[in-house]
Amino acid sequence: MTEEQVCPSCGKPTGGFVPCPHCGADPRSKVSMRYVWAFCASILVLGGIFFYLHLATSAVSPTPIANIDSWLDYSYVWIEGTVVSGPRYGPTSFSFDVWDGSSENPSEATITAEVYSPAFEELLLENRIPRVGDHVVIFGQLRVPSSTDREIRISFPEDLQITEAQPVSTTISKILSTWDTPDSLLYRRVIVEGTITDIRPLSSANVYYLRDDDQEIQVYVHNGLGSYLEKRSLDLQVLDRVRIEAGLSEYSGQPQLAIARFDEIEVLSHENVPSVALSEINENLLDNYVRVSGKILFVELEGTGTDLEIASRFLWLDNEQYPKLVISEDKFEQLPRETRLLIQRGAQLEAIGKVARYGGSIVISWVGPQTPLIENGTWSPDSVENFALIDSSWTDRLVSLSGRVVSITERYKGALPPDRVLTVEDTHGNDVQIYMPNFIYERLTDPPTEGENVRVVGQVVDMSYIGSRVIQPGTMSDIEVI
Amino acid sequence: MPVVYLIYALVGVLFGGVLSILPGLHPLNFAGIGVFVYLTFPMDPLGLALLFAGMLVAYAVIGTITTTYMGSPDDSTMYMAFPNQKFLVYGRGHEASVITGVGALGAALLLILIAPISPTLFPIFRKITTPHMGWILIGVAAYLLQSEWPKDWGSRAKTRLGRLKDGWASLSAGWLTFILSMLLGFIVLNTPVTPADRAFQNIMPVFVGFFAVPWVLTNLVSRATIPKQHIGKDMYVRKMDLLRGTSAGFLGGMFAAFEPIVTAGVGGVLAGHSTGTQGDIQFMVSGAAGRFAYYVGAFFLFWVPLLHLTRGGMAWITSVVYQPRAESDFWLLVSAIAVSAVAAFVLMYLISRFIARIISGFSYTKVSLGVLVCIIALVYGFAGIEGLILMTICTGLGLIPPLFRTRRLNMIIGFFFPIFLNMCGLRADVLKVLGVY
Repeated sequence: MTEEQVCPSCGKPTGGFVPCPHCGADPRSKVSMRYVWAFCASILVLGGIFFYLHLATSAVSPTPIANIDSWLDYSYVWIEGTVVSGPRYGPTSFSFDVWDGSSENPSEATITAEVYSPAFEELLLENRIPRVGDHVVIFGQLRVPSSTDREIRISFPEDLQITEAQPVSTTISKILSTWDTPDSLLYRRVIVEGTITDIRPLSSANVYYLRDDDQEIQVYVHNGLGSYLEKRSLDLQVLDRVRIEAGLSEYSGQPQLAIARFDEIEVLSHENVPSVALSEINENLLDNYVRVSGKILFVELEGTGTDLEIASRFLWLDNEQYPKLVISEDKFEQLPRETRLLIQRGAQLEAIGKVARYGGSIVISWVGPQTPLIENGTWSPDSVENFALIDSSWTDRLVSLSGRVVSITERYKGALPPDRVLTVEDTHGNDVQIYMPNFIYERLTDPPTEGENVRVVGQVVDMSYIGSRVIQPGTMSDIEVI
Repeated sequence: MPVVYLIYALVGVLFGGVLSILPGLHPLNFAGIGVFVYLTFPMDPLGLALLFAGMLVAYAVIGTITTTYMGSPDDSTMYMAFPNQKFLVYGRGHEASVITGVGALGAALLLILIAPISPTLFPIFRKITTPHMGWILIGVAAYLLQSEWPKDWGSRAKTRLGRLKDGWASLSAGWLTFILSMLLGFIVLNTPVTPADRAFQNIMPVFVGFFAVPWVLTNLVSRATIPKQHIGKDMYVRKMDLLRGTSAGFLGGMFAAFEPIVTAGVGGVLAGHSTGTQGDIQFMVSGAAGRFAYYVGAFFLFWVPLLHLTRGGMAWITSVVYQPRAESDFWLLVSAIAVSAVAAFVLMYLISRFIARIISGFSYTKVSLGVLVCIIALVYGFAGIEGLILMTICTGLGLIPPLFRTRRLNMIIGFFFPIFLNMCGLRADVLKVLGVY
């Protein structure tokens, strides 16, 4: 048997048949292994070329923020841009917004970056927290549940590269005059001086008002900064002269200074506010800051009208006829708990306010931030034994009375719980109506019922559609079941 | 020193090579352990990722040895298992291994060649297909069920009823396999059967039961013997078969790599039908190319800049420790794939020669028994007694296709059909009807 008669594939004799009768191999269609090894060599050469490419390319390819869509959900990408708001601190994380100008619509070109624990703590230790105006390069995982809800999550400190912006000294006037012009300082770090004129507490932040040369700008301080990072309150008082280094951000089209650390605010001096007697406050003092003091005679709550929340508190000081001191509820909530508990009838109060007009009357509008002086005390207006004495001439006077609840009627307020009108009878058989707005009645822990005796402190009000003698308590403590 | 990363990949090839010739094992089983080791003893994450790449390449290239010599396929090798075993019976086992290896090398070359256009091409594909994924997958399942033809049983029945019965026998078995697998999928994918600490191995017993165990049992029953193997110097195949098989396999494999849930076997059928693949050689080559494109391609997609796609178990495991960060990382992976593919081919060539020399001295029954013991031990080790019970149930299902000569892929598409439904938002409704929600 010659070599040609053996199948080169299966090694069996073919008897001269082609293809092999045993395995079907056709010796004419041979592919030499030399070709295979050459094929391997060509693959290795290509591998070498790509290895060279690896050595030659080092740049990262940032994804334009405007191109981020829900199909990129859970993807890891590079983002490069300018910090435009934040940082916003939480207990184990912080976040900030990055804008890269990839779209003419700013919101399309902006994404929120979240840094969670342990990268959060490590960045804090390294003092590498991005601030408005800084240039950042980020590597992280996208979360894009919808095209409008976009977030990039940073897991490692090295995935956040920050190039700090250099601040420029400027004035509030210049910031405002160049706003919406090509010379705008938007998203730049600035150093400005001014006087703190007021505070507007929000649910997640405090907005301070900074004024200089009759120009005003907002200063945004996120609540998490004090709660989780600085572990203290920002020690600022109204009318403090301050120098602030901050990033110039934007909110609702208006400029806003974003604070990243408390030490970005330096108090330069404090302005002493003149004390003015309540009796001397009049229209001539409108828009002036005054320091007032007096005994709290009455605390009158005002509801929002749209829900059961309280909008503000009117503090009657010294005399029923004097201008009232008005404190909005959000500012009241900012006061220390012990101070809030002391603000009641009889307490002696000294506070700073701004003379303003409210509903046709002159009032003193509480301004913040401030720590008022307050001393505990008690006081009640004169008690009225015979309700028949109360007539229209008593309107706006404060009275104290006791009696038996003979009936309770409801006054419906749409979808809200109703106001209550209690008819209270004295020992002589005369009665008055006690008008309790829903936001007071719903807060009563022990609301009075028919047949019970109550003690009420309130203001005589003109509500002829309810009755001829109507008393309205100011707070929940003005109604007591006895 | 960047060249160290190529050494990581070559070490991965060695690891993967060893794992690949143990029946029933998969690099994913060990990649999870690798991640655990990494978390305990931190190392260069890029190095670990490239080690995984090497393991995967080795599995795709060397893994066909078990299919050829030991008859222990998984869902991706099942497609080419019949021709490979035919070659083994003819004494051409080594040649079959080399042919499939060349198919895998061809896929490696195609993968390397498309690398430069991948950052442009694949993001477009992804953006276009993502919103339509649900119905595409249901369409794939429907095509696989509808495209199965009645089998010729060798003797034509004399009555019309008999012929009707013959015609529907394999088709009905195919549908039955699909429905039973789907019910199993609803249960297993909704409530893991394996213990909580091994829930990540929930699917392993299913696949072993579907494919490996029925194949080994069939081998045992058939009492086949392995003839002496001839180790030739060359391959006897038409070059056109190599080209067509490689391109068809690559197409199917990349489709499977790109689309979620679709496996290499499913992709292979689709590509085979669409390109008119025919003949044993084309099937073997396309099977190997598809397998390479499926496993390595999915990992490759994970690294493609601007694509942001995580497909395949290895990519998901790797994503725990490493995320590709720059274009240069992608080029490094492509380079590592090239080096690993050649190294794996050389290793496969040597192992195949060695096995071909000694295999005829072994009883195939004993080899099959050994494989069965290996499989059972591994399933018990990874998934516990619950895993063994699940494997046994799946083996029952896996025996239906060989008995009725219907497609085994029906088990895959049936098992994953709940996920297709989930993508269309229908899964919860079906689960409620079945009472497992």
